[in-house]
Amino acid sequence: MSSQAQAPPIDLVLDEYTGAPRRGFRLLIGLCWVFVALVAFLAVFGERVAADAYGQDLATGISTPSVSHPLGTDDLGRDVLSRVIVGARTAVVGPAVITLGAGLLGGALGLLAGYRGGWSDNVILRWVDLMFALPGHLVAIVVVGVLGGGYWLAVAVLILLSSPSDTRLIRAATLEQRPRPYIEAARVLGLPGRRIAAQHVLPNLLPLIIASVFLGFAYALLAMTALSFLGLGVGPGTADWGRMLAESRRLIFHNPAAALAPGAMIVVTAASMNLVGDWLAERLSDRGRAQ
Amino acid sequence: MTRTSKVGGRDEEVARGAGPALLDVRGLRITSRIGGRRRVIVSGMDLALSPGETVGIVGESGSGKSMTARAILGLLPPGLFAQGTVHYEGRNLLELPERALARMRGADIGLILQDPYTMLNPLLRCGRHIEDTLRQRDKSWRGRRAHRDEALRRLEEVGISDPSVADRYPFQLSGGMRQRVGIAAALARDPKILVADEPTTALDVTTQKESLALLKSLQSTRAMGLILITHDLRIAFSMCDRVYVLYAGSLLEVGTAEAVEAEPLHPYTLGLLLSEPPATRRVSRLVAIDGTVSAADDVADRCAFAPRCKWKQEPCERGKPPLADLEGARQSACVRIDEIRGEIGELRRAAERPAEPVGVLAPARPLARVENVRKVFEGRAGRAGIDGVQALAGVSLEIGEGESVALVGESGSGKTTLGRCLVGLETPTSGGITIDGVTASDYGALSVQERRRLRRTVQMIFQDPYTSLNPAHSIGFTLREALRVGPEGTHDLDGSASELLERVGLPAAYLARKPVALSGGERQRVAIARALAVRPQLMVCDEPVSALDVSVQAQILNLFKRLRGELGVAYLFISHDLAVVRQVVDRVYVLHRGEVVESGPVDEILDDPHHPYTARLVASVPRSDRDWLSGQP
Repeated sequence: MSSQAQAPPIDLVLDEYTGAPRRGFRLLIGLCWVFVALVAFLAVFGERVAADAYGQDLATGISTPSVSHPLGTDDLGRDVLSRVIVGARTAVVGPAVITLGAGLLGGALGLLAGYRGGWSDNVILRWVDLMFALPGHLVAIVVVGVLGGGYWLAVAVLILLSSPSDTRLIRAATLEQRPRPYIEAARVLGLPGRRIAAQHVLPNLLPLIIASVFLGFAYALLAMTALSFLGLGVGPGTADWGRMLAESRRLIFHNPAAALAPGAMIVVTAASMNLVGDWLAERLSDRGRAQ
Repeated sequence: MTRTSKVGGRDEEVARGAGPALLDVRGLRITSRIGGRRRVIVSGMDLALSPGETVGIVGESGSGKSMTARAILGLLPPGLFAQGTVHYEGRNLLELPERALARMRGADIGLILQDPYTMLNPLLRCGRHIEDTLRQRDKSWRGRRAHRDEALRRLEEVGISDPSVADRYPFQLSGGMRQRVGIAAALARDPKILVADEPTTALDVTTQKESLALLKSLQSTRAMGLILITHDLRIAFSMCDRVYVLYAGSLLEVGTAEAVEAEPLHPYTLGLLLSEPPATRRVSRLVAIDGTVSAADDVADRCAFAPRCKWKQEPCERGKPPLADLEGARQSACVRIDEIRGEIGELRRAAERPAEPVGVLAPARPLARVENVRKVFEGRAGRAGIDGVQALAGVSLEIGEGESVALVGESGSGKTTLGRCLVGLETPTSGGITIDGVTASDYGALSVQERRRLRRTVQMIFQDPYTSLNPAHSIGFTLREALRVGPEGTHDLDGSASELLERVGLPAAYLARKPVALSGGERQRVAIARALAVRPQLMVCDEPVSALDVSVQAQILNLFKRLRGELGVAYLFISHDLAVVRQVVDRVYVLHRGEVVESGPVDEILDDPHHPYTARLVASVPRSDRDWLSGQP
C-alpha cells in the first residue's frame, strides 16, 4: 500500500531542506552545458573557426599572449589558440567512439550475462574479472607501444579495456530488473528472451546507460590524452590537447599560456561532462516519479 | 442549525474526551513545495485526544493520514511544511525547535511504524533497542544489570517471555516478534501518547490480531492516549473510541466508533463500509465507489469526495465544506447530510441482506491437476550446513474448467510458489502438473508448440499493480505485444487492444498512456487485460487486490466476477484475505507450511473449519465489533 510516507525525490536542483531552487547549482549546470556544446561545436567546425593551426612562423618563435595571438605562440611560432580549437576534434571524437563502442560491447555482454544467467553469465564474468585484474593504463601503453601507436589503435584498445565496467553495470541493473513483475508477465506470455531483454529490460536501463556514457566520456578523454601525452596516440606535431601538453611543457616559463591552455581544456571538459552526466542521471531517473 | 437526532447522543464524554485534551490539533494544514509548486496534502485537520483514549485516523492511500502523524511528531520529510497548531501540555509542537522535539519524541509521544522489518536497526540486538531508550529516560547512572533487567521486563510486557530474545538480532525474529520488540522500545520511556501508523499492515492476519490485542491491552493498562492510523475500517471500529475519517487530505466525518458504524453520516464513509467485502457471506455484487481517489491538491477548493459522490450537487463544489456539528458529538463535512440521511440509512440496511448461496456447480471437466508437487529451494551450493527450504511438501489440487478456486494461507505457506509453478516461473522439484492435457511440470522440457499452447491456456496476475506494467511502454504497446502472441493473430491490433480495455472497463484513450498516468486500480485492470489478450482458460491471480484501496478493491473484485461470467475463465485465487476469497471462489484449499490441511466448498470451509489452522485464519479476519480482539485466537 502506497499510504506510507514517501520522501520526495532528492533533487540536485532543489535544496532538500528548504525546497528552494539551488541558484548556484543551476547556473553551474547551465555553464557546463554551454561548455560541452562549445567543445562539440569546435570538434565539428574547429578547422573553419581557427584559420591556421599548423602554420609555423619560426621567425616569431615563442611569444606571450598578444592581440594577434590571444594565447601567444609556441616554440615553432604556431598560434596556440588555433591549436587548442582544432585540438577539440581529437579530444571529442576518440572518447566518443570509445564510450559508444564500450557501451555497445559491454552493454550487450552485460545484458546477456544478466538475463540469460547460467554458463553465459559465468563465462562473461570471468572475462570481466580477467580484464579488471589487468592494470588498464599500463596494458594500453604496452599494447599501443608494441603495435606502433596510432590514434585509432589506441581507441580500439581503450574500447576493449573500458567495456568490462559497462558489462558489470548493465549486468547488475539487468539482475535487478529480472524479478520485476512486468518482466515475469512477459515471460508468462511466452515472449522470446531476446525480445524481453531488448524491449522490456533495456528501455528501463536507458537513464543508467546515458549517465554512464557521460561519465565514461570523461574517463576516456583522460585516457586518450594520457596516451597522446606519452606520444602513443596521435602523431608528433598534431594539434591534440595531450600532445600539446607534452610538447609545450618546456615552454612553461616562456609562454605559460601555451603550456596551461590544453591542460585547462582537458580538466574543464572532463569535469563538465561529469556534472552533466550526474544531472542527466537524476533527471531521467526522476521522470517516472515526478508526475 | 437544526439537526434532528436519531442515534441519540450517547457517550458524550468519550466523544469529547473526559477533561482537557492531552493532544489538541487544530487547523493542521500540510503543504509540499517540490519543483517550485505548492501542493496541499492535508487541510483543516482537527483532532483531540484525551488520556486513555484511542482515536483512529482512517483513510485510503493519499488521504494524508501518515503525514498527519508525522506532522504531530515533527517528522515531516524534506519539502513538506505544516501550519496550524498542535497543542501538547500547553506548548505548540509545530513551533518547537528540533532539539526540544527530539527530547519529546519517545518520552512524551512514541511512534510505531508500519514496517517491522525496517523499524529496528539490524546491527543492534533486540535488548539494546530497549536499553538504549531506557538510558535516555534515566540519565542517572544505573548499572547495566538494572537496565538489562528492565529491558527483559519490558519484553515480557509485550508477551515475549523468552529472555534469549534480547540477545538476538532483529533478522532472527519473525515479523510479529519484531513488531513486539518495536512496541516495547517505543514504550520504554512510558510516553503519554502512542502514535501507531498502520502497525499491522505488513503482518500476517493471525499475527495482526495478536498485535492489535496487545496494543489495546497496553493502552488500557497504561491509560495512554493512542492514535491508530489504519486503512481498515473494521480494525478502527474494533480498536478505537472515536474515529476520524480522512479522505484526500480532508476530514469528512468524526464520531464514536459505534455511532459511525451504526449510521455513517457521510457518503464516503458509507461507501467504505459498503465496499468492504463481508467475511461471513457472499454477495453477488459488491458495492464499489466509482472512480479513484483524487489528489488532495485537486480537490482543495471543494468537497474532497464530490468527484465520486452520487449525491453531488452544485453547493458541494462551491467551496470546501467545514465539519458541521451534529447530534451525539458527531461531525460531518457533508453539506447535504440532512437531505440524504434517510437514503444513506436505507442503503446501509439494504447491504445487510442475507447471503446468497454459492450455486452448487456440476463437477466440471478438470482443467489443471497438481499432483504431489514438492518444491525445495536449494541453499547456497556447496555451503555446508545450509539445507534447502521446502516451500511445498507434496501438494495436490484440481481446478475444473471455469471454476474459481482459492489457495489461502499465510506468508511462507507456499501459496505463491505453487502459483508460480503453474505458470512456469518455477519448476517443481518433484510431482506432476497437468494443464489442459499438457504435462506442465517443466516448461523448459516442452516442445515449442506445447509451450505456446500452455502459455495461451494459463496466465498470471501479479500482486503489485505498480510494478506489473513496464514503466517504459504505453498501455497500447503492452496490450499489442500480448495480442501478437495470442491466438487471434496480428490483424487490427489496435482494435483488439481497445476491445480488451473496454472489457476491463477502461476507455480506449488509455492506449496512448504510460503506466505512471494510471492509478493502482487502473493498472490492475490493464494487467488483467494483458492476461486476457491470449484468451486464457485459467488465470493465476496472486493477491490481485491486496495492494489496492478498499474502494477500488471492490471494483476489481466485481470485474473478476464479471469476466468469469462472460468468458468462463477459471481462477486460481491466491490470497490471505478470507473476506475477499469468500466473494469470488467456489472452492478453497488451505495451505499451511507447504501442505494442504483442508479443502472443500468455500462456505463449508469458512463457516465450519475443521482444521485448527483454518479455524485460526477464520477467527483472525478483522471484524467491526469489540469482541473480535478479546476472543481467543
